[in-house]
Amino acid sequence: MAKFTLAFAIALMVQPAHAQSTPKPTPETATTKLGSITGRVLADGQPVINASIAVTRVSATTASRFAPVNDNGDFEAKGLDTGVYRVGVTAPGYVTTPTGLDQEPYYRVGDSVMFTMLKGGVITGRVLSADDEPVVAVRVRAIRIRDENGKLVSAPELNIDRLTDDRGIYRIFGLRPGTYVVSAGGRGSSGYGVNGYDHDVPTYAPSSTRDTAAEILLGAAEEKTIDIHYRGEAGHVVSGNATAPAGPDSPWISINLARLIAGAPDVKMSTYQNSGTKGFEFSGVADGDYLIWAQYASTSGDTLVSEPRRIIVRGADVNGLELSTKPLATVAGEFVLVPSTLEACKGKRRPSFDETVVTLQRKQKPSTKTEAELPSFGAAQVTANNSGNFVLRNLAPGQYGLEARFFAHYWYLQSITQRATASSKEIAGQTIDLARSSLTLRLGEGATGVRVTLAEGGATLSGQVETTGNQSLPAQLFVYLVPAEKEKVDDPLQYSAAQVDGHGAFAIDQVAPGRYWLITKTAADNLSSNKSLRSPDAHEARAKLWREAESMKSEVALKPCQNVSGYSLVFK
Amino acid sequence: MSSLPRSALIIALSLTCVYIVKSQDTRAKRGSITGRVIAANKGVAGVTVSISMSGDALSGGGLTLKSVTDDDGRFRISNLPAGTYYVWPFAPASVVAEATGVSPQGKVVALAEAETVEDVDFHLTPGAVITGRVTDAAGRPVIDERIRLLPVGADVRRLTSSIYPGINDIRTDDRGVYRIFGLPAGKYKVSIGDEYGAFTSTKGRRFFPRTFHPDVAEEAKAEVVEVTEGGEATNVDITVARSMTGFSASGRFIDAENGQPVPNISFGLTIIVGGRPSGFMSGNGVSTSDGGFRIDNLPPGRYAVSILPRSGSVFYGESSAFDITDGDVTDLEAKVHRGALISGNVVIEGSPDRSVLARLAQARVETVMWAEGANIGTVNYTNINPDGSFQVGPLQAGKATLRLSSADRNVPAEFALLSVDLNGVDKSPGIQVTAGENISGVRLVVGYGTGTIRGSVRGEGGALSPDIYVYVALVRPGNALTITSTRNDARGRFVFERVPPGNYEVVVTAYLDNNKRVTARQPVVTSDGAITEVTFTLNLNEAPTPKP
Repeated sequence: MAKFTLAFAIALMVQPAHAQSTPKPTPETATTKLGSITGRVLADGQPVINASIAVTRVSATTASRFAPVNDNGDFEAKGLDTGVYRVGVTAPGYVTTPTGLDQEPYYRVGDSVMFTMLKGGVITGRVLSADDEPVVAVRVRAIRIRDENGKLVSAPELNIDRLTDDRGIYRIFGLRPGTYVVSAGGRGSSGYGVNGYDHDVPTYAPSSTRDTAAEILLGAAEEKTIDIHYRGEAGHVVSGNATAPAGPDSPWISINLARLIAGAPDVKMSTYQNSGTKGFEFSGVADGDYLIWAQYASTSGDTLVSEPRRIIVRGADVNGLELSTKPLATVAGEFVLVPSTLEACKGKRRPSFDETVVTLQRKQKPSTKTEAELPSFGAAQVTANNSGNFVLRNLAPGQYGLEARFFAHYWYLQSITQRATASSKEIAGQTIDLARSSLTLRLGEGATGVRVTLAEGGATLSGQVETTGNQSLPAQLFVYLVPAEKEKVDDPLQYSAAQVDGHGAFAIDQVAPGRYWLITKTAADNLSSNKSLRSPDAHEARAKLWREAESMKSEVALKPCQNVSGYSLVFK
Repeated sequence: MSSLPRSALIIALSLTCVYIVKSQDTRAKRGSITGRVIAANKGVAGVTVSISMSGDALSGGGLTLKSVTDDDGRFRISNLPAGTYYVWPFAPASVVAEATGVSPQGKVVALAEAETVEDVDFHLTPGAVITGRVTDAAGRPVIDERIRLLPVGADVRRLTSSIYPGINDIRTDDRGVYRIFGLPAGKYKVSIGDEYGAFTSTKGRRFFPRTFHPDVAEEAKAEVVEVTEGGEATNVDITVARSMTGFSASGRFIDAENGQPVPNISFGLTIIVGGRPSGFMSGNGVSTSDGGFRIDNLPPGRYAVSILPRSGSVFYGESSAFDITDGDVTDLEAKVHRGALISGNVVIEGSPDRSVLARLAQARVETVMWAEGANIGTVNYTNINPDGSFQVGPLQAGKATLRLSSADRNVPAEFALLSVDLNGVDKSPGIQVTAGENISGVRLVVGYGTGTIRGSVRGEGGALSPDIYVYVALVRPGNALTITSTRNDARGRFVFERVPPGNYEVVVTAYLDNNKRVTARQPVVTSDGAITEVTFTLNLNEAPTPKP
């Protein structure tokens, strides 16, 4: 681990001339002024002209706006309302370069986005029968099971099925770097209509079941040739009946059957409940452990799911499964703004509710042989409405950490709490600290009374990490702030992280006033953002960071609405 | 064939699903379908033959049962309940002589209880291949773009319907290479880029000007590619000009009543080709806080911006048509109106028992809305309340056709709609509604029963050629409403099941060459559990030209 020491600290309070200029105060009333998000898409320094941009507002209506790129790779999405947006890029044959950040970047009107893309990898080969004849028009798909760093992906990514041609040749392109397994046959991710191999057990390359499938390591722009000897086995049937509560909508229930590999959901297949009583049926199911659940989306936008059930298919059909769906959880709450009367805070921009996002991050359960949980449904993030209220819908059962993001340098996240309701185990009226503990959601239940308090008086700290001699800064370098005051050690909201950019600059804002220790290090324990650093589950990682920072003895005191700039750290 | 536009619409809206034929009544006697897959007068082994139930096949998914041919090319699918089936061999590299050119593909077999239908044969010939590469002017591969194949000649066009998965699914790979196989011998033109480019360009993709092999814009100048049976045409390359970006259309949604801008409206784009709305695409966004809408990257063409049907909005409306030529179009105004409501009751004919009434919850009211001036309808589904009442809306001004459908989209409705009336007037052809209007008292009379009407259609000289399409409709005497319809199978037979007791007319219409048709009708009486037979003998020589 590279070590840094704090060379000297300047506590000049008056000079605001640092990279992040002090924002001008914004009127509180919502304006109808529209604006743009612009940017550029490059690969190897060249414009990616077949890229397309999707700009999606973080709000209840998640309709996207789309923009093409011009000959220089530039794009502009015009006519956008004030708000928080996600910006995504796709280009046939290309993939986005991994950022290494675990926190999704949000953009606002006026922002500019730079995307770098890589040529995707290719897996190609032939599918042949037992007597080496080409298997024609069978669906083949590549399943990404590990990322480019060899880490298991939480949900295996299925790429679009490609069909073999008349010579039995398939070609899957635009693949992200990572580790893949490839399979042919069976009902795939996308429907091409009736296919003669739909009811077969998928054959994995080279001629295997899922358990013994060859793992294919694929780099960017790399092409691998993988042949499959097709087995065309019939497999077993899994059948049952799924129900939904009577309501205004006619249920069209989908049933999902996910293979469990080492306890974690792998590739899933889906089918539909045939009618109110006629049940569902999967055929071509290979021996193995599975998770099965039913779900349906009502026209009112609610998703209903059944409790997931683990089943084992071993040499026989599994029939008579009963799955009954219940609504997913809803979390409702409010943002509370606590302004400051201090002179130093006068005229500072206050957070705008339509740029304030609350995100629920589900705790990743360790994969075990006996436990498995439902995947997540939909986006667990939303902006507040004009009065600061928010509702997150369609949340899968599990434990969640709550994250709040807003745009106002001199405000900080003071607390996240929940008023316990009569139905919960805690005494009604008692307040639960959701910054320190996870929020537990169960099927068919909701959580209300969540309160996110934003207080005026946050401080900002910016500066430069210098190197000695010809040394260059390592990638993924972060500056962390940890509380120096003993009674705040357990408060996750007292911790902050900021990435050091390629030029050594860093900037941290929205810091609660107080005394802190500073530490600069590479992103150990995956603490690459406030989101992971402040997670209720990161208790041990924070404690470790705190001990390291304590030994460094580099302290900084931040006063309400103070802007500390020009901080210098030297790399040794 | 007045029913065709509607059924085409339903297909477009259906999603993929699987329906598995399951035993509902184990006492029912089962039937079988057998046949042979033949190539060069010999049986072909190892071909998967699939069978799907009529209606189900329309949904695009439905591989229901399958059989693999034996060494002599024979297949047998057994244990089938009575019904109408589509049978089709999965032979993607071959051309199936029995390709009909209509969807769903396959031979139609109307199977009676405990019947075995034999000789459902299929004839295969080796398919041809056309392959090539698409590059832009700079020599770069054109990746993941759709290739369009134009068959030259009507016969070839019919057989191209056997291309798997479909003639619209041919795309270039990361090298710009495409490969089309299973083609009938014949002549073709190959092109890239098309007049519906807005479907992908408004999702942010650049588009290519329509270009035929080898590098020409005009179809007349396209080089014709000819392939023989089992032959392969290679290097059918296309060089396109640089991809282009389009122009934007922007404007505002204005409430027609008070002139105020309307925010938060989900809108879509209507593509107008040849003066007619030819495509509608959704997912273009939501109007901004000042009622503004904007769609970027439109290729030159004629368009309109409209409120998305079923968006949950009480409004409907669209902009007037506008042209994109060589610049952005701004300041469009889309006047929006409050929708109309239709309410009424579903009434069950006769005096059905309570279990039948309870099953009404599995049915829905299906409304096809034909907006004024539009020739694309939109479909809405409304649930029926336990007391039989329903309310449909908000609807735009135009004609609303009310029907009954199954709440579970992938099974046929249990109930038959017998009449639609408003104050005693037959409204089955549709109800005219104006903006903001409330229409109440619509009666949907439905029947429930277990009668079967089975029939056959033949010519005066003998069996009809299976190539002749015969539309068979079931109606009540004196009522225009088609209760249900089907078509002739390969043997000239048809069947209606779950027919409520009562008096009916069966109307058959044979569609002949030269746009001529022959119609005949016969009265039929049915009761619960009864099987009624009806036979039609058509004089095909007395076919009048249909009235326009």
